[in-house]
Amino acid sequence: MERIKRRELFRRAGWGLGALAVSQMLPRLSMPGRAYAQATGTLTYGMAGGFDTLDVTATTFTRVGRIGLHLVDPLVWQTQPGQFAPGLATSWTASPDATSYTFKLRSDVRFHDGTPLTAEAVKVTFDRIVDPETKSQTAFSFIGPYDRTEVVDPYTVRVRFKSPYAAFLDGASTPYLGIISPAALTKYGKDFGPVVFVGSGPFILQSYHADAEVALIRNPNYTWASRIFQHNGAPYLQRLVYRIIPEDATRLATLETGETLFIEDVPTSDYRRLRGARNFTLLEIPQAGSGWSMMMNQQRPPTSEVAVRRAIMHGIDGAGLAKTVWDGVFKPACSPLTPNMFGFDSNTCKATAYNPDLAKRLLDEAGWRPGPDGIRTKDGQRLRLEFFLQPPTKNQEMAAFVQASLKPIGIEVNLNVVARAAYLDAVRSGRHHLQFWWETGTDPGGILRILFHSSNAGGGTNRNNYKNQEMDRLIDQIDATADPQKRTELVVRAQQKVIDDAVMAYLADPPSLYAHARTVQNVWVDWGGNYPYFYDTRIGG
Amino acid sequence: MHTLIPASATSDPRARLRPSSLRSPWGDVLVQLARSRGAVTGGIILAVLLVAAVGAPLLTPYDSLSMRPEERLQPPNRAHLFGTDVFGRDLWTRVLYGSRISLRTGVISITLAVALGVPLGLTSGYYGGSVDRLLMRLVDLMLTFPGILLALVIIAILGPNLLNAMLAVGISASPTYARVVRASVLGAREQVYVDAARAIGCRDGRIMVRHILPNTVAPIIVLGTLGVAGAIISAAALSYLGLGAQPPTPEWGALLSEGRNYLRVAWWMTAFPGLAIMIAVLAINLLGDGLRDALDPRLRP
Amino acid sequence: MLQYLVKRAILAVPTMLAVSGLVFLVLYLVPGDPAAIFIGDRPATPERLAQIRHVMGLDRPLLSQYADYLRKLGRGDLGRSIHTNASVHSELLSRVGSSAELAAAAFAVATALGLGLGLVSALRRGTWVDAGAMLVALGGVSMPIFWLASMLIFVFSLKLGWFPATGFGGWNRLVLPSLALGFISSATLARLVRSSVLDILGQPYVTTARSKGLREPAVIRRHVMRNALVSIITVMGLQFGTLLSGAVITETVFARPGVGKLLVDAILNKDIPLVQGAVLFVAVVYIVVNLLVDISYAYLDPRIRYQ
Repeated sequence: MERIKRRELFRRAGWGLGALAVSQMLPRLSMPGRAYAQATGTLTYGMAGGFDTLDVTATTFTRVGRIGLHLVDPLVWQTQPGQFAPGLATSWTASPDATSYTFKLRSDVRFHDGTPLTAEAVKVTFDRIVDPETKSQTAFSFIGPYDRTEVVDPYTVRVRFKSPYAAFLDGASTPYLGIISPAALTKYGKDFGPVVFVGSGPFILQSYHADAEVALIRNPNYTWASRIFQHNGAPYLQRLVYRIIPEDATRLATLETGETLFIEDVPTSDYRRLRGARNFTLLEIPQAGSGWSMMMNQQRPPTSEVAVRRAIMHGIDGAGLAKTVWDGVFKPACSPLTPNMFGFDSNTCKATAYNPDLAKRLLDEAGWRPGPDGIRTKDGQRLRLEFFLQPPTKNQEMAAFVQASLKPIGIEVNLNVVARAAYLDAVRSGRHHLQFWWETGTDPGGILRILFHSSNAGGGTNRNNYKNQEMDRLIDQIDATADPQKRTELVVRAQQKVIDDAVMAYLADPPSLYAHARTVQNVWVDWGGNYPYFYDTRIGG
Repeated sequence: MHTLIPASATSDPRARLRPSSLRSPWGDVLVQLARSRGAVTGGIILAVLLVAAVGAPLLTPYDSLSMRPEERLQPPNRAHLFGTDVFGRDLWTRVLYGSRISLRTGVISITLAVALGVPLGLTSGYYGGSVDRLLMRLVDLMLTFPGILLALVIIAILGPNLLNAMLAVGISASPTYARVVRASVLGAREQVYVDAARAIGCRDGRIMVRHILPNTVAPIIVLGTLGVAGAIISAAALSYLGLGAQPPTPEWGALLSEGRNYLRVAWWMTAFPGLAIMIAVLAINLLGDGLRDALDPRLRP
Repeated sequence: MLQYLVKRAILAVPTMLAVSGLVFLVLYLVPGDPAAIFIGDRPATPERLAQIRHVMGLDRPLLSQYADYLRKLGRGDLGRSIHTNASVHSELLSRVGSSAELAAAAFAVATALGLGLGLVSALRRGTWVDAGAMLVALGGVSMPIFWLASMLIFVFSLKLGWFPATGFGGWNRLVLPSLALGFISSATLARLVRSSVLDILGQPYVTTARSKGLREPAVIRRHVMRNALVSIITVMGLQFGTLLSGAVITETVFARPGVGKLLVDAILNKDIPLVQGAVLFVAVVYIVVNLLVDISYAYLDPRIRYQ
């Protein structure tokens, strides 16, 4: 034991020295002239943070989807809310009850390792997502009530669900259900994802340095682009490099120095400054999903009282919050769905409007009387709420605003800023009154299920702990309804229901903010605003 | 084991021979201190800061927390000496109130470090043998981690807030004090007056407190003063990473953290808290240096 | 000497085991289920949570988990991160290069600045040179590093465009972070050098050397520096360890991967195998650096010999 241990010790000590030597010999990446100018045809992307794995079918990060969309091809593309175009699948049909989907696949697609795409690959990819060993996160929620996949013939595949699942095409259009190479899975085992990743997309993984950068190189054999794009064949860019730069100020600086050509998450404070800049283009795309909102725990008094919840809903100055915290770039929110979502109900904006007088009246009527310090009390109980949140600065700024907004109507908010582990512990066990939520996605049913379905209450994502049979039924119906007209009606009814019950308070709808050098042309971004796609992109000038 | 302060401060031959306070050695020190230009400058700046911290409400018409969105992000002007932040709060007021928090944080952290480190070092040095080995092994384990990393680890476990930041900074600084005290104790333990005390039947506790502890006072004062400066920086660093003081607390590091997203649109949000930290820490360091010179006869001219 | 090295290495083993055992225990005492943290804000049924817990190996008794860990460690296997599925070995390896590079460069900056400032101010004691050098050094200890780092980026990347603001690989990406980190840690060193040199200048053997007619540079080199180096190297050794794993803030501002950041993230995620691996790495660095410091004593001071 001791001997081996010591050897290990020396080996690991050797690493440090070895790494030191290696790092000194690293290739000089610099170019003559301005020391860090870009090689032609390389687009460097400033990414706002690190992530867990490159495996899109396992990750929990939208960022991995952003990279992964270049490495895999989805079965279908979503061009408009509910409108789909061919991807790897040339055509598809859904059973009337939305429990099975049949896809016809292209026959000319090859993975980066040279193996052909077949129906079997679809089966292997999907089966692997539901295997607990994969610990799949986002993909696991997109694959819904998955039952099994049947290989009908080498290029026809049928996906079956245990219950109706009308949102499957939406899921299949995300990078997370992109198809991966079964041969590579067998070959690399557990290193598939953390080290390598093999799909069939327009770019091939060249290198991955955790917490630092992911480099992709173009796939010269790519001839199976969807017809929604401007060209077919290999991408114009030679390389696509994602650099991880978490500090907002630093990331922005890299765009201005030319170290990056494209950045995500432009800080709203700098948004205005950049809008006038001659060298940059700003992309502002309303983000689909549910925006920033606040969940109110119904299992814990006093937020168990509908009057208190309604007072909070009307007591927060959404426009002020959007202006103060988000520099007026975000828009005040009305509903659990953002306005660009399928079935968004614009009447909700009236129903949830800021009205401090109404808020005070509601509390008065419910028997909450202002005490000597302005904070209300009822039966000796103080109207004091515990707000649990995690450290990022913007969370704290929003929470501080909420706190200041509710004070004048007589509600005291205590901020508990805690680290991730303690935060999850508190909100899962329901020790909170208030907590933030932010969600992005393009399917209204999926969003509503996460927020309001009773199966997600009691420790899951429904931290309102809202349990309502009618609501459950509505959500299940939305999932089972493919007809657009009927689906819209159901989604509208669900929104009205949660506003009648004052389940949550809706704060701000964020746009996705990207900025890039003016020389970068033709960036495609999905309508949900989450996935900038560089297949058609050229760097000009 | 050498520490960040010269070994000479821990083995002052005069301090060692001084049985207890036969005559006040502190008068000497004060005279020395008054002669040091740096120490006087540091002392004056620090005094001004302390007065400002205590008298904060008198020095500003504003409240440090109340928000006025209509006055947000104003550059420094006559109404707002240091400008305003995103919520329209007056930055001069925030920095002023922040001095209360930051200075207190520094002092409390180091008091904690001393309270933990001194008994540890005293016990370890006085008893020696296996007690010493065990305690020093513990200290070694803690020293394995760089101070800021240890503090980050403690915060990651305890959760981010100002109290835990003070605990983390205090705990991670304590091994240094244990070491320095131990070194002084090792020197003092063998002295004749300690033997004498033991011979007349003094208990261990009394010997430690009455006869050995005074020997460690000089190095602790020097190290502690410089430590307060370091603790202010460490606490600010933790706040900067979002792991220390939480908004709306105007701790200086938290102010910097709030301002870092606005570096390009509101330079004043980072410049003034940054300067405040620098001036305070500089003053404390100057005073600490002066103290060290005064308490360390070998460096006297 | 070899015998001494072997002995020290063997002595390090219990320390490492103690560190690892302590970390394991602490992580388990801290509230928070790693599987729940992993799931985070994703929907998951209780059955799903139980499955994840099983896959992560968290449903077994504590002791058997630890015994398993030690057994693997004995084979040189550090396990896999429960978050990324990557081997801890490769997670560490991918950060060590960047951390080592930064530490080495910052160390060089700190040493050059620290020795220079300290020596100059000691030799010109009481003059304005002394005051100026010490003020610079004081500035270094007094400045919050994240502030200095942001200012450096602002001036040298944005305004002047001399160096890139971020990333690693290539000397030009190393300049700003190593300046920031090096300047801050040079301050401690400069102050120490000054006091050690002053201390030694007052020693009789220096007077003797001077009265022998030895020229001043030779006195400084042969007598003063050689004797001052023992305490200087001790501090520099400690500094190197700090630079290697304690540069979390510098790494954050300049967007560099690093061991310190890895460890902090791993703790926040309660990624036990990764925390264990990173902690062992930090401990090994500390032990190796201390060993190198001790060995250097023997070269500097002929009276010290290791048996």
